[in-house]
Amino acid sequence: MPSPKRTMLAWTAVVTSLVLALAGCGSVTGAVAGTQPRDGGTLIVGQYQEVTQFDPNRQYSWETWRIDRNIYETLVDEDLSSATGVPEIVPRLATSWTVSPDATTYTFQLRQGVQFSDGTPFDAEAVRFNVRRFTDPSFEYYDEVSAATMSLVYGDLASFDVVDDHTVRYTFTHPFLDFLRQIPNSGNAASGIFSPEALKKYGQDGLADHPVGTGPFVFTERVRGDHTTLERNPGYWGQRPHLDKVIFKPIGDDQGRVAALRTGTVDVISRVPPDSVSTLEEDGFAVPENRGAPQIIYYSFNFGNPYLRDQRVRQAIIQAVDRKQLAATIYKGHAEAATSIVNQGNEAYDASAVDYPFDPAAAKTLLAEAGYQPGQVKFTILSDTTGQPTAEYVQQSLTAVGIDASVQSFEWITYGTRTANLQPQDGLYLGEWGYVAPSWVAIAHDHTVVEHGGDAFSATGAATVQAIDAAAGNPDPAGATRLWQAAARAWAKDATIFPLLSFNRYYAVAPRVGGFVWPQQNHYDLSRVWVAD
Amino acid sequence: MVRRILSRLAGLAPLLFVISLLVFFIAQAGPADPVKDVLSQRMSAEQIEQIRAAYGLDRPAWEQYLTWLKDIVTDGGGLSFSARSPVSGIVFPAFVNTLILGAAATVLSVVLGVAIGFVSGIRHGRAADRVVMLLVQIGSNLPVYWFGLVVIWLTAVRWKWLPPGGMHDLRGDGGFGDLLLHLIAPAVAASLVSMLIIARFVRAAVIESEQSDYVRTYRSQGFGRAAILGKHIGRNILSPIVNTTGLTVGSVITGVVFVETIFSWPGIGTVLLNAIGGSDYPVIQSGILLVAATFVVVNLITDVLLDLLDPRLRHGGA
Amino acid sequence: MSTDTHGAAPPRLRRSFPARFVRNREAFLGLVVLVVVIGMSALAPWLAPQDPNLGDARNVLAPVGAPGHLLGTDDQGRDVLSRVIHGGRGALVVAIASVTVAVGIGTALGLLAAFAGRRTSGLLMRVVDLMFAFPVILVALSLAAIIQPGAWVLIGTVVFAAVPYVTRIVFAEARIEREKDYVEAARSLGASEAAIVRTEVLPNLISSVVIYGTSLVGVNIVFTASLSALGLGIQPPDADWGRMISEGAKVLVTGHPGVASFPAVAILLVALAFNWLGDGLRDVLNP
Repeated sequence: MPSPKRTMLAWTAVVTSLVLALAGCGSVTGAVAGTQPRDGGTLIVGQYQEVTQFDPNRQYSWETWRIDRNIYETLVDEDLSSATGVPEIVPRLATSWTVSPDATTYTFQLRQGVQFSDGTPFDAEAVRFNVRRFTDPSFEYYDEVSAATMSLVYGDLASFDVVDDHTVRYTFTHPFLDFLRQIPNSGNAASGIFSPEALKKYGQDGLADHPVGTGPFVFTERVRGDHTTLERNPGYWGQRPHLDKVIFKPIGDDQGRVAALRTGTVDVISRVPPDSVSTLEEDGFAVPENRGAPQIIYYSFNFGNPYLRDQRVRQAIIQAVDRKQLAATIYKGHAEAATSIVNQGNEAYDASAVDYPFDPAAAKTLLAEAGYQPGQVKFTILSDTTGQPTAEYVQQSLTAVGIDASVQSFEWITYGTRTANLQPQDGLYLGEWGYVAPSWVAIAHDHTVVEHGGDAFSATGAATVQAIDAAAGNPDPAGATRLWQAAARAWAKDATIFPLLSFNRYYAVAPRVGGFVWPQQNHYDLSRVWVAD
Repeated sequence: MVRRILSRLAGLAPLLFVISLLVFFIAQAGPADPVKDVLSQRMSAEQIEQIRAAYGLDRPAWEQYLTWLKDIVTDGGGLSFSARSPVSGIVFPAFVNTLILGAAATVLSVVLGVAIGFVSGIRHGRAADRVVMLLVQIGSNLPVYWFGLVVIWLTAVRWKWLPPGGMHDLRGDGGFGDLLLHLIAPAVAASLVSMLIIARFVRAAVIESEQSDYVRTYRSQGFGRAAILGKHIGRNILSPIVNTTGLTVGSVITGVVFVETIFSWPGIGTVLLNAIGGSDYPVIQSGILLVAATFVVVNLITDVLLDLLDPRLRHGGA
Repeated sequence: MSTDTHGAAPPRLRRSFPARFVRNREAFLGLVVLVVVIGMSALAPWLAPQDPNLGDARNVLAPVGAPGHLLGTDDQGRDVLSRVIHGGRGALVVAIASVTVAVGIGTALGLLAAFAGRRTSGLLMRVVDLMFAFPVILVALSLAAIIQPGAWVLIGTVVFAAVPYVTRIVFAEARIEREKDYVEAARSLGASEAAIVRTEVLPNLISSVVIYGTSLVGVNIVFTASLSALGLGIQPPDADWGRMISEGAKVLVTGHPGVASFPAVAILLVALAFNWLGDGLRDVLNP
């Protein structure tokens, strides 16, 4: 039985330790990766979100694709081996391809001798099965949910043909220059190819729990909320991955994730909190810097709010906020200000594009022109708790020009529901996305403006739609960048989107990991990563 | 006696039924729409409607309720909306994890609570007692959220004794020792409040017993204090302990949501929080029903145990 | 739960209530602390050295004792001391108001159950059982999903959680009172049940209810703080102790424990004060 004296001592020790607010945490001990790759070992990745599901046509979210792209492969892929430069399109399950001059028809030669991990052959029929699942309502294995998800890329597919056992052809109703870029897409509507036999065996809902693809790793198990385990695919057609096993673990709490990395519970984490970057680097962890990853944080406007229907008010909002200062202070320089919706890393990125410059005096003038007294314009800024400092910074900038904005931040558990049910008093809400493909401009415009009827509320809205259509309908790759940049500039005039910033730090890696590269994409290649003993 | 148990058991069914109704309609009453909010990625209105129909969400509420009820009985709750895999596969394993944590926390709170309360009661009035009771007071009013974080900071980050969360080491093969190591910190955090409640009760019971007549009689006859305390008081404080334990198990399960969040424990609290965020009604409904049913069963067991311990009832009186 | 440390004291003259109250150290201390805290919260706009919501991005996470910031600044550069002074307002109002409402409802229900017929009584207590069985955290989450997170979620949750407790206690005590002589006497004199409840039974229960109520406030200060930490209660950027803990949690593990710990200490202090007050009142009202 513990004596009261010992209990008291124990309590005193605990209380004393709490009172002594000493900084300093343990630094890294243990193995270091070295320069020579070695085969074998287990890598553990700490993700910032629970993933959705492993059905390639129903899955979404970046963290999910970071797992799925090891199980499923796509016809073409991106070369993720370099940390700089727009990733090149390279062969994967297709060895070569041709594009018609009007960019509506793509013909792929499929790789031969490839098998799914359940032993069934990968061939043109397998691809057809995949495509029909999400495009052909008359198909026995058609799935509405897949169709809805994949419509982002295949919505305008006119026909799909099997030319021979190892040749397939996609034909679209309009020129689709970005199709190759969208195939290995990051998260939503990526075209991972699943085994038709697996779908037949496990059913539409069962495929997610029994994912079967051709990739370098196979799915072993998933314990929801806890971890997902992949193991090396011994029958893989390509180069043997170094790792034997990869485990992905969701740790939603920022500090919990950092703590897990520090204590060696995980080897890699995504979404490093800006406050932790310097202490992690001091303690021997690698936090790579990348100014070209296609990720952007932006605010969307709620066009149901009466004040925000006035273009001048929206423009004033954009001009009231010093985005460079935001990146430098709140994000400690670990983010870059974004002054155009075309994110860094995008093929059509233009570093010199500025929608409206920071100018609080101009903002005040605009508000006066629109007929509002200081304090009259009121709305809420909706944010999740991670984005709260950003929201509060914006709020203060708006207060300085006479706009009364209040911040409502939600734990993620209610944030999604809240933003899907906007109230008239809501003004700004947070979004995060980004693409390498320049047709991102059209996607973003549809998603944030068109679907909310926002075009009606800007004088230049019609011109924007025209410019976007021109770029989308363009069949000539040589003119693509110019047209998309023109579309982006046109859209910027409308003040119907408020780009904020892009991270330049995102992953933190323990020293025992070698070969980890953060390319200019939202995911990474695990097949060339190794771990020390 | 047996009749009482049977009648309580019979009362379980309607109680659970009402709970299930409440749960269903609270879930439905929210503005959340599982399809629009979560599953849609740039979907048109008709696509959304198609999916709603595929998930049976366009049926009238009472029909959805009956379908769910049938699903509960047959396979544990149908399919999850966001995962499209059986709810039972999501909810039951998580619930087992919560039970493990809850059991550990309960054992910890009973053992330590009784120990602290007993010792404090024996030494009551003395300095040790006062200090312990002050610390007990402080401890039972600590915000659990903060306390858990401090525990992680100290034990995992600064002193590196314990893992910073999770249920097992992903690298190793697990095993019981590994589980215990991961269990310590969250169990302590989850047990704190109930431990101190038990301590207070036990202490009061010890003090009251010590001052009762028959104990004084034994003392005056020269029996050693320890022996008296051990045998007689022990039996008398059993009832309050059982009663409080029953209550604390209930509050442990509720409070466990906070602890699971901080320590990344894959239990029912985490599952429910995720499900609420994703408007995943089948999971929410089954999860809540499971937790509520556990409460009710624990209450029943507590009452039965109390009846067993109460000598008046044991000897046939009523 | 304190015991009489005076032992078997000889009978003494009954002092007046205020005199006994002041002599009871616990109750007195609790009252003093509460008066100070409530006064501080009420006078917060004048007492706080800085604007609690004004962030200074260049002075983020200043240490304790930094110039102009006695308790440092948080991760937005806001003054921690000012936020702590303001942070109790919402929590105190919510806890006191919701417990008052719950006590009112619970007392009414408990009395009803004690004096009504067996059927009503049984039904009522079954409903109370139901409320007990429903995990409180899920009430909070459901409310947050239906109405927006905020003070009303906290109030609704606390009322839902506290009513069954109060009802059970009042029910048990009222049942005992019901069998007592003075009630029999009043009945035989022709008084109606309602009148008996109002004039005879209720005054005897008041002291128990008040004691229990003060403890409930203490418990719920902590509980509402935890709910706010989860994001269900007082919304940013307003200062609130519970939210400050969760916001400070982000930097606690990286070595800045003060931001989260000062509000935690404040919560602790207020909860303790309510408990001391409740315990002391119990000693004073039932010597």
